[in-house]
Amino acid sequence: MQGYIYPNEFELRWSLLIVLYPYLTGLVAGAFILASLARVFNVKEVEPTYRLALLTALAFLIVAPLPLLAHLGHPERSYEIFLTPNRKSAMAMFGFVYAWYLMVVLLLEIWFDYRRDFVLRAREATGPRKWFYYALTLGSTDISDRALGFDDKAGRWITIIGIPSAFLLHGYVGFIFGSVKANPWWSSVLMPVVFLFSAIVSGIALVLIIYIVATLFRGKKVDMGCADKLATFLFYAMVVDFSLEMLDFIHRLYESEESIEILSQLIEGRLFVSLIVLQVVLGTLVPLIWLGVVSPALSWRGTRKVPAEVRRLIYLGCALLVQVGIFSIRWNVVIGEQLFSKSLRGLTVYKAELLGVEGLLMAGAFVILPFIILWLLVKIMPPWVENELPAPPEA
Amino acid sequence: MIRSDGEVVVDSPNGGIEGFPPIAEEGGTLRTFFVPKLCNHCEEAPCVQVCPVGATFITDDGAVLVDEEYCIGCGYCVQACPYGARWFDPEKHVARKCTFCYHRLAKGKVPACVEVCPTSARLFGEVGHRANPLARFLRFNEIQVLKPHLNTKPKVFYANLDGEVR
Repeated sequence: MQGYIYPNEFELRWSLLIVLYPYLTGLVAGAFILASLARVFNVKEVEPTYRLALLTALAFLIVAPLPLLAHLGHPERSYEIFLTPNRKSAMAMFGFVYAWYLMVVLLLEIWFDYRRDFVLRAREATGPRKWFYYALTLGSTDISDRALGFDDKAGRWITIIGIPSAFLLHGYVGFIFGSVKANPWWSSVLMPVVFLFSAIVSGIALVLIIYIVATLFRGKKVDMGCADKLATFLFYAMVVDFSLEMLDFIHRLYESEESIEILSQLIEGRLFVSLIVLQVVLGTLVPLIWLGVVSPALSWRGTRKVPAEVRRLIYLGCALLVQVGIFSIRWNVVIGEQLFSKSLRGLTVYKAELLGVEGLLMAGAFVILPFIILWLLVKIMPPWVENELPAPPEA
Repeated sequence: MIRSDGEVVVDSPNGGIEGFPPIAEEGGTLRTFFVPKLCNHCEEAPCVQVCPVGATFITDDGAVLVDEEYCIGCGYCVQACPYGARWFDPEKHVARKCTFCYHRLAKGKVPACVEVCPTSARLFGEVGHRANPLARFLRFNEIQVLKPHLNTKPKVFYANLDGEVR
């Protein structure tokens, strides 16, 4: 502790779990927007990751609200958010945005996309597996060309609705923080936009990681056309994201409001490692430079010609660094906000505990859980191109 | 305390329970003063706005209260209060705050802090009433509120507040 803080600021009310919540939600929105590149914008190169991105979004969306729930003082009353929401509360409305996204966008799109597979698997399989896949078809087993054409059209429309929905989902998370006028570190109109673009960055990087690692583990060849395209989009998204963050930073510095002094102390001291070192240097500048040099973002063959194996490794390293950077952004927003007093006269410290509901182990579990769910989803609904089921013989 | 060189020192050792020992400072003292901070019972209360379930509400007579049976313990109000006036009850796992001693108000008494203040530095009354001690006080003193730029419209008023107080 340093200077003067209010008594209620000694202990941080929002801890590691609340850092995870915008991080996980951002991955969902980002992965979905990546999927929409293939579906709506017809970027052919990223098609190998289309289904994978959708499943990734679903796996992370299922887990995203869990840290919030675990953090509540009375989780058993959480249903009140849906039953008697305060319509003026940003947080209450998030419940509905989340539900809309899960039910209307993601589940429907995945269902329309996989319905043909479900039907074919139900026909092939025997025993409980047959019934399981039959249940997944929801009884809709028509896979004539006309029915599949409808599926395709419906999926396309849902994606078109889904893009603004994904923007809404994570922009809204940014709004939950950015609309708190009591806190000068949060209160910024740019917050939802910065959140959105950092979400896109994190989502693309995540799918890139999962795609490369999963492909290597499956003993297949990484489609370098796809990896190059992902790296290119990652680079572009990072440029926009970093520009926005710099704009926010310069704007604050130039306006130099009452809070500037304590915020400078915060950045130079408490947040130096997580903001300057992890977020800006390791999480943004280093991957930006590598991607700029290696990927075809700036010139179509890459500024330097690098063999595919090395390029793949560099992409993987960059994507991992980006994850560290984005996690640091969430950390700096959520934890950074609470490290300085609203009296603007002092700083406090945060020490994450190891055990307990808000501890490191619990947080680690919430990060691993989506990967387990994703693994299950991939087992049930293989997203790989070579797993595509052949058309059934004509009857 | 404001030092002669203009630097401001704010302290509340152990919440002031054991008193305030003199601060040994070099360079002399310009001014010293106490500023009690409590819930401002804002008319446009950010805590009421953000509560996802409406557990925090403004009563008809203007006090901002928390329904402990209803609060889900998300802590959003703790973040949203510009005055650091809310805290989290570690046993009940809900948000807590100054109630203006609503249980006393209901019996026609004034809040305990007003009643026990030995120098009558605190006044309590109905805001907007034309002929009560509070109205008279507001009329004859220079009145400020905390963080007026946030437009929370506090119902806690300070007379002769130093500009250094935030």
